[in-house]
Amino acid sequence: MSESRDDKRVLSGKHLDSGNVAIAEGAIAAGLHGYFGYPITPSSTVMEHIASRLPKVGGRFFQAEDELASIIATIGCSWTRKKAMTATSGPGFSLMQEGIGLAAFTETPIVLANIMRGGPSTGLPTFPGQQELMQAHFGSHGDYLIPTFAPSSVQECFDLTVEAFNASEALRTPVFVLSDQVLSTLKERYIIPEKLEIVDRAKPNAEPIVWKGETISPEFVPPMNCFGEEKKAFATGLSHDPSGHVDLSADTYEKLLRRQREKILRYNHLLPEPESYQVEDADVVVVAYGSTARSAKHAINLLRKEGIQAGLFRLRTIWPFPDEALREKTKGKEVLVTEMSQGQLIWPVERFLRREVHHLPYYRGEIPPPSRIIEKVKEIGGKGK
Amino acid sequence: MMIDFSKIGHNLEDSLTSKMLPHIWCSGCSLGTNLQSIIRGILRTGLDLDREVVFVSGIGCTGRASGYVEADGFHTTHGRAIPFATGVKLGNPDLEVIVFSGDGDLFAIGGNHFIHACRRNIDMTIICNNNSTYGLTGGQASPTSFEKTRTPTTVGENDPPFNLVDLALGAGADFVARYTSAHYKILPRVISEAIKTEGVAFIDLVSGCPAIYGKRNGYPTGEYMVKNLLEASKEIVPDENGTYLLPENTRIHFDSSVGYIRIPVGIFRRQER
Amino acid sequence: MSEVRVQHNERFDVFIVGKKRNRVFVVDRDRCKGCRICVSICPYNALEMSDKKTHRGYFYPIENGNCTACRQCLYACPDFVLSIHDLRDVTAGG
Repeated sequence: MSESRDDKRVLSGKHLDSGNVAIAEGAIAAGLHGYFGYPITPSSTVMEHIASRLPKVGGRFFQAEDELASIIATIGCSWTRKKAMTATSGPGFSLMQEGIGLAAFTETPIVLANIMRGGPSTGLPTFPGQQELMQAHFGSHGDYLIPTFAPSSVQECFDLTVEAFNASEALRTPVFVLSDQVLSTLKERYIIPEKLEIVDRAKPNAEPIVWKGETISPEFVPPMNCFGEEKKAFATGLSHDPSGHVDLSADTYEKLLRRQREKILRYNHLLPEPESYQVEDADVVVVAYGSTARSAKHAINLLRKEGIQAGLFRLRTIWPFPDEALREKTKGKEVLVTEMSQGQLIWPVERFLRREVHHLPYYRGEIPPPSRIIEKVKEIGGKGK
Repeated sequence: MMIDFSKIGHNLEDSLTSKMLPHIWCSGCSLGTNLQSIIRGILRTGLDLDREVVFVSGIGCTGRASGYVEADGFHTTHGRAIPFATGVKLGNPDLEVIVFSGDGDLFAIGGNHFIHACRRNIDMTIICNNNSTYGLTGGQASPTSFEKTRTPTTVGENDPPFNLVDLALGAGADFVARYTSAHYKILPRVISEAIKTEGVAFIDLVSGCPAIYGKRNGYPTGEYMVKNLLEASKEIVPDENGTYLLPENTRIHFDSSVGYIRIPVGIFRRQER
Repeated sequence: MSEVRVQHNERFDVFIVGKKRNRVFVVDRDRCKGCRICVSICPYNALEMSDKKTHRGYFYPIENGNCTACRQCLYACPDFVLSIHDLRDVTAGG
């Protein structure tokens, strides 16, 4: 990237860079104002790239004392009607769970990129894992639903980060980008388009906003009254009434939790759709996401050469889980879930298919090799012609 | 002369979120007095409470304060008022951010954030409602509970308390003051000076929790507490050698049979312009 | 019209006070928690506690005619109960 172009937000054109840089560029292109982070492998290069770029386009970079602070400062920045994000990995994601619940319950638009490494605890800092899929859904205490996107290429690291900002603004919610260590360092060509749809959150007493051609209902997504604007803007992590003030009554609480879930489910169809690769005639459908899906795709290409009909169902949105699409694409077929975990993705797959599926858990700090996936598909009984 | 009751309300009613009152705080608690002093301090600066001020609080009894002021506000998670305020300040530097929280929130679970805020010196006013206890959860020992006081979590003696003035001076805050909730006459002036300070301004606002901590430790009522706080307060006399800043001279003395014995009060550091 | 020094409604007690009787001292019974801080700090001994309780079960302050409208109690009150206004600002048609 040439120095002279550094002061533009959207660096349209072709680039060769890592997934972490693409996440940073996606955020800046989407209108990021405040970045708050704490160094942690393998997410740190998101932070480093943003530190070098964001101040040049009028944004603010802040290195916090810990992840507890970075997530909360991200929320604070968002309440000034500025786009804000943080990025982290495993242990940092655990520390941020407190703030994640707060962001969900106060309906604060923020983006959190979690670059997954092997866990638990300090685990495998420099090797990949996919062990935070459930944590993205259930990590903080209480009920909430946070849209979670999983890129599988450097291009998608850019695209899904832009999508994440748009979804967070349109639906007034935190959004996760779940990348992994492989994508963080993998360099690929990616393209920043000339034109991007950028969404800004709704204002009180203004026209409802439109996202992907759809009007977002203020009934489900209340316009955000931000700091420094008309009237008192107030929010609390306690149960609250529509004005934001504390109200612990049963009806208020139930209504609030219900609306917060429904607002995500209502616009589910606007979130990134799953990729179906050669599933139509497949006997075995491999279900995967992130860098694991790259290996799976390669395995499928090799299997097809042998005349074995395998296909790939790749999740791009993980939460809310694309259950209808999964059911439709895997009807009457054998299903194999593969993931860099002892078993997390298999839970929603079995729960939504309501049947047992095959599993290739692979937790060796690397993506499952195509040979293992091929072996497993053959074992399941992918038939040759 | 017939009174028109529709014209009757509190003098600060416009600055209060009326629908949330009466507040949740116990009879005789310092918090309401302190909140009023803070509101009067903000109004004294001439800032527009609605447009220019963000009132951030943490968790605990003090945490609820942000819900009672008609300023923009946020009731954060436990200990996180300072990082939230930092985010607000980076989002919109024109906003005046006031952190009002308790000793447990700011100095136990949020202690790390406090020292880093002082180190960075981002413009904010941090007021600690220092009542030496976790009131909301039942009066357990806090980082400012005195050694020989009784709490439900005291085993033998409490660990030594933080001297918040000494801590703030050491961490590098630009403005450091200590007064008590009974100094409601002069507090608005001190608070407005703190708000006008460009970096971190810290006020150790020594307060009482008569209903829970005080009852067990020598000041059982609000009435007694106010007198006790005033009588124990000793205005500092700055000297050239700075001996008034030594930890032993800024320390609070307390006796659980009578309450506060000696509270050094005053402005310990001012921003040099 | 003869002066009615104390007037009430379901929430407020209003006392006409001050040397010139041109101020009112207001007690918001709805908010009072009966802590007695106002009574004990009043420099003029102008406040006493009531015999009756509020609907929340607290005794509350009553002004006895000595109030000079100095505002000390108002600043000290932890419950936003007490106020001082100019009489002409709160009278009917005023």
